[in-house]
Amino acid sequence: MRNALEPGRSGSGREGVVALLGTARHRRAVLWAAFGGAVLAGLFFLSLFKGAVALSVDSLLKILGGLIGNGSLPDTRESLILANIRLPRAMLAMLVGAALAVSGAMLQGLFRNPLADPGLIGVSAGAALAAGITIVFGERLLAPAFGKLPFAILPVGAFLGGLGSTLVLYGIATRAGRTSIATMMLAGVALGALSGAMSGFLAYLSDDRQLRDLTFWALGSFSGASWTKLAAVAPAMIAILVAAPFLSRGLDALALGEAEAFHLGLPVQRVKAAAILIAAVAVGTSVAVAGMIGFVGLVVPHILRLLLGASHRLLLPFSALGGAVLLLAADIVARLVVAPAELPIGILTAAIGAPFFLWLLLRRQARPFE
Amino acid sequence: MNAWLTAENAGYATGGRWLVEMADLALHPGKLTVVIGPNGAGKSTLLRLMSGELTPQRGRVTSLGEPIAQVPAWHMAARRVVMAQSGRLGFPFRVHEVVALGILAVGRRLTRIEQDNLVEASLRSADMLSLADRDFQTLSGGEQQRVHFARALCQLEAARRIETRQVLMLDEPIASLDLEHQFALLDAAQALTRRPDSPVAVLAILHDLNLAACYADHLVVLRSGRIAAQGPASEILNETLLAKVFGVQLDIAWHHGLPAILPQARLMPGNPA
Repeated sequence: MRNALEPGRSGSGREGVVALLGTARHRRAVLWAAFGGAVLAGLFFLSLFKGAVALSVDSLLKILGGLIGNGSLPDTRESLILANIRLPRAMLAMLVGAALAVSGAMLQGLFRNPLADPGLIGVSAGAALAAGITIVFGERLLAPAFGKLPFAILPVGAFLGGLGSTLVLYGIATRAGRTSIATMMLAGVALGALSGAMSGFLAYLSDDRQLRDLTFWALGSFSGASWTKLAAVAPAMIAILVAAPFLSRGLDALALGEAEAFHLGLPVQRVKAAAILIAAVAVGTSVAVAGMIGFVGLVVPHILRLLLGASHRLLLPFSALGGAVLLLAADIVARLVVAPAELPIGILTAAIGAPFFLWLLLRRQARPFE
Repeated sequence: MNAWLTAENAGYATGGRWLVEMADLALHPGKLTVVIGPNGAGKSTLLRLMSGELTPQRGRVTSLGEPIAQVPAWHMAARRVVMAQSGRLGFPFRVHEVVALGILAVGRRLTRIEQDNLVEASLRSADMLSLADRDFQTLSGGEQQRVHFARALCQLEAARRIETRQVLMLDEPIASLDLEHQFALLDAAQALTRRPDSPVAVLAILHDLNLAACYADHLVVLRSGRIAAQGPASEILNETLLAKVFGVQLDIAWHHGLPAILPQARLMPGNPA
């Protein structure tokens, strides 16, 4: 340290320590991307022919071949199941998993804490409440004028609910640029309970069909997957998955604190606003099509930080990949364990995620809980 | 020579109390300005006003003649670099990644190799190269402080391509450092002010009066949000000022024109503790 800084004094090109570390990390990332991609492709095909009705690999290939070859489907029961149920379902599971994991990584970056998860801190509950309000009151208020409500209204409602709860939470937990994790968690509990109470009241007001819809939000499931639902949410989800990595520099800088990010030259307010918006869109659209699926946003980014480091430049795209893998796998399990019935996928992710969260808390006790 | 950053009659209040009042301070290139003062005197608030983090409610702060609030954030980041007091991270970033955050905004146009070399040189200057791949969260307080100093150096150096009239601000940079690294850091900061090509203006908050007196080209003494005295240490430091500002009776012995501030006076009979 006795020498004043002379940049390039090391001048050793790519042989320096930092360059070597960068190269090693890059190589590791490429390997994990290839591995993750292969697993995702494998799970995708598995999800197409596993289920209540088992398809043989032979017929699967024949149907897919026909679909790709001349764009038509044989008029069999198998091909209908494949094209109208399993294909949209697998794609929806991957998209929702990617969106939830990315929103988890975003919220954690925003709150500067790895324990933030849209389910845990009440963002999903807020989205579910707004979706519930749309289901119960939307039809009553708008049906006379418009007839049956278009499905696309639900994601919009859920997005507004997710956005509202994120904003409230951020406003409560952040004082003078410092986010208090304790306040965030407690406010999240309160928000979740409030949303739960209001959702319960909605259940009291609703008719049988609406009640079934509402229960579906609480547990989460892909059983209602269809091309219509996919088309309603896919554009927004793909847009945020593409946009998210552009925030990686900003979130990296925010890890130091808001003041420090400003000192580094980042437009802090814009980064924060964009992160809140992206997280809310991701959670809102996910809740609208699949209900509340917890812990994906907690587990996936955490495992990836262990594998690839904390930098959001890798974390955000890999969260999308990891989330897609996790939910696609969970959906296959949910369909198989109690076949021909199926388990709500939210039960599965909670059963895996909650113990994982407890383990995280235990592990963190070794370090100051900041 | 013109100052690169100037506070004129600047004041900042919160909760009905002025944390800093009527502050006039100019940071000149080639000068190491040291701010001293008791706890709660407004040292950090003054630094945050000068960095643009806080907007003065009275008076103004200008950077190269422009009101600081009107300079875009990324451009301000090229003109002034801040090493703040706390520096905890919520995530397990590696040391070299934390240092590379310094060039996040100001080093965008640099090539990959230039960026790596810059990070490496900064780590070496802060004596942290051997820990480049360590998880930042597992470092000791002093080591974390050195990483943040390396990050500040990295930003400063990268930003020279955009703006050569730079200010470096250090808020208690040596608070957790061992003696060797205290000197090393202050030497490095001083060397920046002595650069032949466009020297840097440095603003540092220190608690050690002897180090402050040794290194300061310009010493600023803060008390209750006001500047009680400022100027070369040899001209403004005396027992009366220290007693008034810190409320402690001290002796000053002068060696080769440099003050040595001695706590022994407190223990002499006849002096109140």
